[in-house]
Amino acid sequence: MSKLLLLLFLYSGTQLAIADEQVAVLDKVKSPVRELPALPNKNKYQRKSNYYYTYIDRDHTQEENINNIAAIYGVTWVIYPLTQLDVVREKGSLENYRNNFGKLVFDQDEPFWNWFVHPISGSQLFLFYRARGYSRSESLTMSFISSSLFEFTVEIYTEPASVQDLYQTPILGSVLGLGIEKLSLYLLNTGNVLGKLIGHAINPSTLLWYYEGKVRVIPQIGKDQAGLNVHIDW
Amino acid sequence: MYTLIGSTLVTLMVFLISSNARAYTNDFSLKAGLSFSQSQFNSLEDKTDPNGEEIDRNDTNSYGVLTTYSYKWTRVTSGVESRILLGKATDLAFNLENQTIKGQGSIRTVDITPFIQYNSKTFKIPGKVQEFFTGINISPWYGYIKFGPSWMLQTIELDEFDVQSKFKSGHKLTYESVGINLSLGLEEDTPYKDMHPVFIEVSGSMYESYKVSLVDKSDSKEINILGSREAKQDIKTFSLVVTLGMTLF
Repeated sequence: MSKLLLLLFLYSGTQLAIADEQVAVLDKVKSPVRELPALPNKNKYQRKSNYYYTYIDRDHTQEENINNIAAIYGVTWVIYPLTQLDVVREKGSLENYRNNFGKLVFDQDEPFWNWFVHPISGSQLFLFYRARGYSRSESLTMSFISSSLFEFTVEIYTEPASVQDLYQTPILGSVLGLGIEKLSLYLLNTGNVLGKLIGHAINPSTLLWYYEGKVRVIPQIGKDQAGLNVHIDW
Repeated sequence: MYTLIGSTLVTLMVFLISSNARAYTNDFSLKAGLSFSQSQFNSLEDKTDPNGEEIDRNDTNSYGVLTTYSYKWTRVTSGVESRILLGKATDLAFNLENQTIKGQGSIRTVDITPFIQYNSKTFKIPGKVQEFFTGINISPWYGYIKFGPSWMLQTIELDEFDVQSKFKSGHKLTYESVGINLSLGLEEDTPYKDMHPVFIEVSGSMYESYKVSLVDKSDSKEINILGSREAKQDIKTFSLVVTLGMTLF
């Protein structure tokens, strides 16, 4: 046992001697330490933003649900004739309204309308409800109710309700809305003016009074304490 | 393609009789996926050529998207799904007002399918398979079978065609069909839907047309339906669709 310890001692001593020689060689060949230029203080150059944009899901009362659906329903009665003036003039009539009431057909519209215009409308419906504090699933359900009301009671002034529109407006609209939600939040929180401009343009609900996700974050720094004051309006 | 589908079906049958569901339950979900479809069209009039020989028409390949909105209980899911598929067909023949239109062109299909789905118990991927996919976290999965009635709108726009009268290049034919859809699939069994479980499914659908319309699409803002009539069994469609997708929320 003692022989083994002696051998170990000798071996480690040799190792140490070799290591010292190596360090001496390395000291000779290594280049002198140069001081690197100081990095700019990132905080100093960061863009300042007064608000943080997000979505805050919350529970809603039945009254709030009805009010939100009623508000959108009222808006559709104004927007539809304004955006489809020619169609309303040429095809719209009370007789058509009566004939189309309760009718459900496959429409023959071109893909531009069914796969572009309707999903875009659906995405803005989805984003309206998201802005009002509904979760994604709830927003989809509320969009479905709103677009069904439009199909069955507003658009029938000119044409019967369409199966594709009933499905594609809220569903494809929500898929598109989810993408717009993510992109707009990213852009809005960059603090960049162009980012904010595009963010608000693709998701106009973030700009309007009913948007509940605009959070004001104020740093609170005092003696021996630091914190954030988070201010949410709704 | 058919061998692959056959193997998938057998694998699914085995998995459908295995153990323990624990995925998210009692919640709505929106799923979306990319689909590849192979379809066969049969018109009653064009099964045989003038010599009496059976015509072997080419399958039409289409690509598109599937969206599903459903509510999931523990073992049962119910909802509505829709596929939008775009394809090119080179060997079409359709009957319209007692004349056969032959040609090639594009086909767009949109279907709406309310469905009920039965989910199997969860099964785990065997260790050896997991080892093969090193670095990829493979969750437990469950198999499912779903079925429901399906309504479909097929829009046929012919680029080159052979017809005596009436049909013009600015026109399109739309067939409304009704049928059934049966799907078998596999889905990741995650505790939360926010983990975006992935699914793969194979669907088989059969349709029979009940209405055909000739539509003038020269003015895209205002579609003009030139004529519609009953088209019972004018066109029969059989489609096999493979979809790969995920739960969005």
